[in-house]
Amino acid sequence: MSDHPRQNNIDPTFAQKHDFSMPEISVTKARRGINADIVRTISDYKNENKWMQGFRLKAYDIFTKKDLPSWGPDLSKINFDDIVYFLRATDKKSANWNDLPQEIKETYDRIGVPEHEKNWLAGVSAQYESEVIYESIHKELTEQGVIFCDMDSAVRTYPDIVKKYFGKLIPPTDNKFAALNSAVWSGGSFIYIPKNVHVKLPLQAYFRINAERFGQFERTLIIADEGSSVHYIEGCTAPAYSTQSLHAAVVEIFALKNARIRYTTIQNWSKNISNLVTKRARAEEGATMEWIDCNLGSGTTMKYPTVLLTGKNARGSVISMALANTEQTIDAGAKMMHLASHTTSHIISKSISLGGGISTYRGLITVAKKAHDVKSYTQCDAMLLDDLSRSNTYPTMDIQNNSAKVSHEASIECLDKEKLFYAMSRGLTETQARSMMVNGFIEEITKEIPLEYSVELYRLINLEMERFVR
Amino acid sequence: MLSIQKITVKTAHKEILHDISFDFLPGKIYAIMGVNGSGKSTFAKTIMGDPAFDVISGNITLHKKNITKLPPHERAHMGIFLAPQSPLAIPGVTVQQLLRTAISRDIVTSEVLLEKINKMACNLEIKKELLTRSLNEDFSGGERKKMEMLQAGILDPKYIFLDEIDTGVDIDALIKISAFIAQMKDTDSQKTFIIITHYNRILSQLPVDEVLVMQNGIITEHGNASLAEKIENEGYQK
Repeated sequence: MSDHPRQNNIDPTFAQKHDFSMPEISVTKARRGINADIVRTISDYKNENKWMQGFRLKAYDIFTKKDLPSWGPDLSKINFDDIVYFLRATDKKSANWNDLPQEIKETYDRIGVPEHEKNWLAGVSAQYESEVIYESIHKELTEQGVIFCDMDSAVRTYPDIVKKYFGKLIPPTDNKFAALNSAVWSGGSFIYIPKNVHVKLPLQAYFRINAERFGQFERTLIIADEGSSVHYIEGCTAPAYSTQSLHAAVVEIFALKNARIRYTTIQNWSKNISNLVTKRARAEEGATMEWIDCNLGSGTTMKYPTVLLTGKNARGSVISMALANTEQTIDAGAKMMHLASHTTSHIISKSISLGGGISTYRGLITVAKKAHDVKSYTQCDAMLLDDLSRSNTYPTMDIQNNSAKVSHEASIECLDKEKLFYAMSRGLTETQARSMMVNGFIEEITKEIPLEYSVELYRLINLEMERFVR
Repeated sequence: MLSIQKITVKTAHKEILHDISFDFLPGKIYAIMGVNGSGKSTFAKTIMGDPAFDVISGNITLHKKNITKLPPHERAHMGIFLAPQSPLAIPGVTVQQLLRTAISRDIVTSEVLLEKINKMACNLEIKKELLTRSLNEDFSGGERKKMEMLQAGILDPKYIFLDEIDTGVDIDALIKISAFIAQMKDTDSQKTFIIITHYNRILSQLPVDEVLVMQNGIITEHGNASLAEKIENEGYQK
């Protein structure tokens, strides 16, 4: 079937939409490699207080002592000495795209961020290399007390809130990359939603790595106060280089009593990036935390969004999709820790492997002894497009309370040749048929994300299918 | 004309069709009959270009163009259609999405396409909700077969193979399907239908021109509509 002529149904400009690079620009750039001096220098660049500098140095010490994870994908190709840990592209952070250096403005124009902002977002933050260079938020939200700013500014402007929550869910000791992030973090979003405020349109952060052999270490902290709600979306892209780059973010989320948070990620890093991210949320009584996690890019991803359900009737969900193509390993999953009674969790994971890609689901469900009447449901579906590719599922459960109702369903399907023939007999090319079926397979996920992004996701998947049928 | 010229067809394991030749003429209705395993479905799938079957010798030509090696979608674009015996479910994909992908926007806009789909669904008495559900998923036999007819109606092919379109279908649905075929034929008298069936039931609803009988991978008999009646009464063994 591979000798069928290919019909290119992708907008030719789309292929280049994310994969383009601009000349590297910098006003401040750390020396390549990492040591305590570099950590101190980064802190100095930011004029940080003693508390944060101390936090960083302690974290660096932990980083040097921690081993790489012994399980999961091979991370040996990461050379910590060959990475630039801090790069300030411009010192003009602005709320006006036109004030930014041409290279940066053009980047976001091409990606389409200003257009999205105009049409359907309540606030936008854009990080380029190490720092947020653009941020804006609807005035009404500011008037209601909503804070949406970069994490660096938050440390200076809201030290009390930051101190109360920063590093509390994900301490530097959690894992080697959380330690590294804690030592060299820069940028990321800080969001605070006051009591009973509902942010109706999404807030969006856009992360771009343009430089080569670089590490981006954003740090995000979201606090939704009692009875409030917010939807936060992050998108990530980078141009493809042959050299290795690293993205190691830490995201901590606090959903206070009866708050509701949805956190949507569309990750489309280039394949030279290792994406090693720690994401954790705490849902208090009656709160709802939803992670919507779409992973298409990166060479290696390790990411297991977590919800600690600490108050009764709290709800957590992770709805995720992963697409692993040639030379990609997507190791993703979810963790739900039921620490209180009547808490519920829901996980849907859909993975697609093709062209020799490896996708792995790792899940952990725990139910504490004191947590009664817990309900948890996991559905884990994998689709293999060829026999070179692999899919693994590692569900782990630790149930200490007998009243828990925990279920796990898993399925694996190979893209059926008969189905391909059926679709092709209606006039679809092989690529169209594959794309359509893959998109059908993840329909449960795409219907959860805003239309503007599901259209984008659909195109990205078509593009991967195009690459695949050679 | 769709011309089958001395084709021999095999799967990975065995030869199924042996040196078959036949010319399907525009505007006629054919019936292909035969016991299970006689090669009827393989014959239709081979003409549609199913990669599960290898044509090891012979040719298939459509309007004098050799299509033996063309992929299925190109044959579809040239006007061949196959409603398979058991249409497969495609999770997460609606019939609207399938047809939207199949037909270029240059040919028909989404509004017009949707309107046509709704009209034909109404015509075939397909429940509206089925149009926005995953295609064939949890559909009844009759619903699947009607949905195949709807796709044939929209794609507007010239040579239409209907493999057991009458199986698993109640009498009301069968009448609807037959009427739909007749209507397609009224609209375009050059359309050719090839109806693969075990039963005379659907054939009695339609003005069949020719009947072919297949047995063990070859065409053993060829006659007019009365052949179908004879088979119904006497069976395939003479």
